[in-house]
Amino acid sequence: MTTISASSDTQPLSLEQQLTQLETRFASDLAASPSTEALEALRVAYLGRSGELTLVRRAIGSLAPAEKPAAGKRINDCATKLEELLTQRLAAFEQAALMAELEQRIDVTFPGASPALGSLHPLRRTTDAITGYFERSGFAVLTGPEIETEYYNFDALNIPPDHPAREGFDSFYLDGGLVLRTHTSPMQIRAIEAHGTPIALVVPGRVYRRDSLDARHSFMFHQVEGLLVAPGVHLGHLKAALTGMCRALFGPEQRVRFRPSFFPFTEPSAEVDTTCPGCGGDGCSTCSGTGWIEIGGAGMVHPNVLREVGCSPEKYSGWAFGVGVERIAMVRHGIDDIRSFYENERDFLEQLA
Amino acid sequence: MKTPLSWLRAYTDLPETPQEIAEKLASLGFPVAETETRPRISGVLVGRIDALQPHPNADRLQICTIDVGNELLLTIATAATNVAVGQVIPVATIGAVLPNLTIEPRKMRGVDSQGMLCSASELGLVGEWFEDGIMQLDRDLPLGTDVVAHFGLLDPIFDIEVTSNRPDVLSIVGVARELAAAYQRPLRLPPITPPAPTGADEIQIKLHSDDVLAFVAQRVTGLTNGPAPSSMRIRLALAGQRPISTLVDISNYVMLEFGQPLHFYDARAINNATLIVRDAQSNEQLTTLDGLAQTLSPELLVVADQNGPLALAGIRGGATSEVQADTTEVIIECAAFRAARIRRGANRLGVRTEASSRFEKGIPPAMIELAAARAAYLLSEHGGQLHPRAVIGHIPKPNSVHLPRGAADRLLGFAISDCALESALSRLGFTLVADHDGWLVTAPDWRSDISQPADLIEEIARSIGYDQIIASEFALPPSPISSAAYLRERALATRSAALGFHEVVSFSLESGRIAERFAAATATAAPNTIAINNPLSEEQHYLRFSLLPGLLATLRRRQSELREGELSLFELSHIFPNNDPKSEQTAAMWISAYATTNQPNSRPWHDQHFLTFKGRIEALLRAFFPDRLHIEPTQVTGLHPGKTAAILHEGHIIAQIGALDPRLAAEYELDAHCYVAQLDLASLQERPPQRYRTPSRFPRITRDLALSLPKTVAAAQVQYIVAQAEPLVQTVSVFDEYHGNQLGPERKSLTVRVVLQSPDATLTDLQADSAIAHILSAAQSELGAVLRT
Ligand SMILES: [Zn+2]
Repeated sequence: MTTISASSDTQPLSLEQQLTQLETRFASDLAASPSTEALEALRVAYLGRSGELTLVRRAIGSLAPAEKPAAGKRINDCATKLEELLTQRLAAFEQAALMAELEQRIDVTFPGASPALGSLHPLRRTTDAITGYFERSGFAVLTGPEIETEYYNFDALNIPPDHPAREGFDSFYLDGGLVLRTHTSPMQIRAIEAHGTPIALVVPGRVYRRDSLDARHSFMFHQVEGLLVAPGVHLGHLKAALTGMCRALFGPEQRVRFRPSFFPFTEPSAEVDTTCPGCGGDGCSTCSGTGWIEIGGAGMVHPNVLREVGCSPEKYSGWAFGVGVERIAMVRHGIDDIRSFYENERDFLEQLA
Repeated sequence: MKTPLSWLRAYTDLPETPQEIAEKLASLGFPVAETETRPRISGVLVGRIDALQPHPNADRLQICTIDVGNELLLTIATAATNVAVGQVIPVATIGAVLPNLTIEPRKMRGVDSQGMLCSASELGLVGEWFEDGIMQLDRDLPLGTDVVAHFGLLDPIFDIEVTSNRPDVLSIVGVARELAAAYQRPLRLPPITPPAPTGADEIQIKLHSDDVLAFVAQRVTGLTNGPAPSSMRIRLALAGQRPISTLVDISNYVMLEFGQPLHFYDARAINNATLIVRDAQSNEQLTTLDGLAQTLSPELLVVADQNGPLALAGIRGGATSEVQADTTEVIIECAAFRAARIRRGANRLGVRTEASSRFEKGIPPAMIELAAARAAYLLSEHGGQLHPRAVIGHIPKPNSVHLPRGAADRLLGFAISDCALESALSRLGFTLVADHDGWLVTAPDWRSDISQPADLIEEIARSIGYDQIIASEFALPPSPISSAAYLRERALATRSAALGFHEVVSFSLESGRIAERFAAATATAAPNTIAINNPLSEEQHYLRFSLLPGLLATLRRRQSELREGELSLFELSHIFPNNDPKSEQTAAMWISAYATTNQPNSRPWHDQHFLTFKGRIEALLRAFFPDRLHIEPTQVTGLHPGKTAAILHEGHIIAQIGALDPRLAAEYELDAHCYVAQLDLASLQERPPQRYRTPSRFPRITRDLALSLPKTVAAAQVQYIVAQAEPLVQTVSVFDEYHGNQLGPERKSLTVRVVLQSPDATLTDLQADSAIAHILSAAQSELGAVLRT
C-alpha cells in the first residue's frame, strides 16, 4: 500500500481525486484481505488514528473556509462508505466461518470421556427405597446401637430368659450381659423411651445371628424395623403401610398378604408376603411356584411390650414390622447368593449402581 | 415336623390335592417348608406264602406259591432268605410299578415267575429300618388288599413349620385338628379309652421338685415285644421315626399322635415299684439310651428309684431301664414338666431330643392323662394287662380370658359379628360364655398360649382368615422426631458416590489376627477389641476397631483393577474402637489407590495424588462445613507420619487425611499408592442457615507474588497471614512450590495469588500497590518471606 503525500512534486491532486484513488485502492485491498484479522489491519490503515483517510481529513485545515464544509462532508461520506464495506466483508467472513463449522462431521458414537463416577452399595439403595417411602408417609428415621443389652434385645420385647424364642435367635454374646442385636426391634423400646407416644418411625441397621455363612444365610445382615403406636391403630393400617412399601420397592401392582405366625413381641403376628416380582404372581422358580415371596415379619405390638414402656394397651395400639434388606435386594435385583453383598466385587457394585 | 398326609387323612377329611392342603396350612400359620413326594408304586398286593420249594436249577432260589386273594395262586421265584410258609408279605404282581422297575412275567433259571416279593426299600421305605429281605405284614390283613392304598404310600409327606408357641401342633392330631376346624369337618380322634385295670400293682410316685407339674405312672404286664404292627411301623417310618419294637414304637407313636412325650421303663429295672422325681446330685452318673455316660449336676431333673437315676426327666431315658426284646412288663411315665427347667437341662447337656424340644415349648399338663390313656389302650390292645394308674400333681384348669366386645374389631380393623366371632373361636375348641360386655373365653385343654385378649384376637383372625384384613391408610401427622442424623449419613454417602467413591459393606466381625497384624506393621500397641464370647469361628471372633482393615482387604482383592488407574472406595458403618462397648460409633472412611506405575512425583516434598485426594475430600466436606476448615499436619496410626493432615472445624478435629503408612501397604501386599480419609460423623451437626454476602460490583485486581520462605512455613500459614494482612484481600491461593539450590537448602519458593477488591469503589493502582506492600511486610515479619524478583 502506498501512502499519499500532500507535498508531492507533481501537480497536487484534488481532494476529489485523492479520495477516488483512496477508495479504489481500498476496494482492491479489501478484496485481497483473507481474514477478519486482515480486515482489522485494513481498518487501522485507512480509518485509524494515523490512517490514510485521517491524513486526508487533516489536510482540510489548509483549505479556504468556504470549501471546508463540502470537503468535510465528502470525507465523512467516504469514511462511512469504507466502514460499510468493511462491515459487509466482515459479515461475509463470519457467515463463511459458520457455514464451515456446520460442515464439520465427527463420530458421535466414539466413547465419551466420563468423569470417575462412584456408586452406592445395593444394600443402601434398597434401604433408602424403604426408608424413603416411610419418610414420605410421615415417619422418622432413627438408627441405634449394634451392641445391645439383653434387656432391650429380649426382655423388654416380651422374650424373658428361658423363653423358647430367645434361643431361636442364636445370638452372639459379649461380656457384661451384652449381645449383638439380633434384630432392629430393640429400637422400638429405645425410641418410645426417648420420644414417648404417639410415635411413627423406621429403623434401618445391621443385625447379627449365629448362622454360618452360605448362599442363603449370613451371620450379619440388615433389617429395617417399622413402628407405629397411636390410638386406634389396627392391622389394616399395617397392611396398607406394607403394601405401600412393596409398591415403592417393586412396582405399582404389588399386593401384600399376611399369614399367621408367632413373634413374642407382636400379637396378632404375621409373616408378610408380597407378589413375586419375577412372575407377577403366576409362579416361578424365585417363588417356588407360589407366586408370593416372604419379605419379613410383622404384627400388632404385644400388650406386654406396650406395658413395658409405660403405655396403656387400653388407650394405645400399634403395629411393628421387620424386613430383611438383603432378602428384598436379592429379589429386586435377582441376586442368588447373599455373600455377594459383602464381597464388594466391581461388577456387583457397579452394575447395580 | 414330618407329617405323612396319609396319617392326617386318618383323622379328618381332607381335599384330594396336597397343594391345596399345604396352602390351607400356610394360611393357618403352619407353612409347609417342603413336600416330599413318594415314589410312584402300584400293583402291590397283600399275599400269603402257601408253599415253598427249592428251585430245581438254582440253589439260591426258592419257588413260592402265593395266595393274593383270588382263585389263581402265583408262582414266584425269590432269592430272599427270610421267607417261610404262612408269612403275609407284599407281592408285586405282573404290571406292578416299583421305584426302579416294572414287573413283567419272566423265567428265572427255567421257572416262570409271576411277580416279585417286596422288601421295604422296594416300597420306598428306608430299608435299614425294616427286616432284611422281604417285608413282613400283619397276618390278619385280607389277602389281595392293595398295599399302596392301604398304607397310604403314595401320599406325600409334609415338613410343616410349627411356631414355638404351638407345641400342640407338633403332632399329627394337632395338625389334623387345625385342618378339621378350617375345613369345618369332624375330627376323628383315635381310641383313647383303655379297659379298666385288672391288675393291682400301683406305682408309687414321689415328687421332690416344683418343676414337675403332674406325673402319671402305670404298670402294664403280660406283654411280648417284637415288631410292631405293619401300619404302625410304616406310619412311624413315613414320619421319619425309625421303628424299633412294639413297646418302643407305641411310646413314639403316641408322642407323634398327640405331641406329648412318654417314656416306658422296663419294670424289672425299677426298684421297689417307686419312681422318684428329683434334682440330680452333683457327679451322679447315668448312661443314657444313646450310650453316653453322663455326669449329672443339680440343674438336671431325674426320674430315679432308690438305687439312683433311671432317666433324664423330659430329655432322654437311661440305659439300665431300657425296654428290651424280652421285656414283658413296662411302667408308663407321662409327665408335665416346667418348660424352662427342661430347656436349661437340655442346654446344659448340649442336646435336643424329640422329647425335650416339645417339653421346652410348654405342653399343657392336661395332655398327660390323654396320652397316658392312649398308650395304655395300645398296650392293652397288644395283650398287656393294665394295673391302676397313679396320678400325682396338679393339673390346672385351662385359662379363661375376658374378651371385651369390640376389642377384636378395633385391633383387626374390620367388623366381626358376635355370631362370627363365637363361631370362629368355638371351631378351634374354645368355649365362650357371653356376659354384658363381651365373653369369658376358655381355651381348650391342648392350648397353653392363651393369656390375654390379644391372643384370642389372633385366634379369631386366624379362624376367619388373615386375607379378610382390609388395607386402610392411617393419617399420620408429620413426624416431630428429627431424622436429620440419618439424612446426613445418606447425604454423605450420596456425595461420596458423586465424587467417584464406591461404597462397600464389610463384615463387622473379624479375626483377632487383623488387629495384631495392624499393630505389628505400624509398630504400635494392638487395639483393645471387643470379643464375642461364642464366636462361630476364629475368623469372626472380634468386633472391628476400624474400617481400614476391611477396606485394605477389599483393595488387596481388587488390586488387579489398578492397571486401569485408580480405585476409590468408602464405607460408612459402625466401628468399635476399643473394648468399651460405649465406644461404638458410626464412622466413615474413604480410600483411593493409584497404580505405582502412575508415579505421583519424584520430588519428595510434593505428592500430587495426596493433593488430588485431599481436594476430593474437601469437596465432600464443603456440603457439611460451608465455612473455612483449618488444616494442620498431624500423626495418625496407620497413616504416613509425614503425609497426614488433621482437618479442624472451630478448633475440633473433624477429619484426618493422609497417605497410607507404607508399612501397612506392604503388610497387605498392596502394590499401590493409597490415601485414606476418615471423618467423625458426630461432627456433622445441624447448622443454622448460612448468611448470603452481597458480592462487590467493583473490579478485582489479581497479583501473583513469588515468595522465598523458610521450608518450615506451611502453605496454610502463608494463606492465613496474607489474608489477615490486608482488608482488601478477597481470596488467597498458593501454587507452584519449588525447592532449589539457588534458594539455599533451608528455603523454598511459593507463588501466592492475591485477589484484591473493594466493596465500595474501583481500586486504583496506587491502592493496590499499597495493599501489596502491607501483605509483603506482614509476610516478612510473620513468616520470614522475601519477594523474589
Ligand atoms: Zn415367582
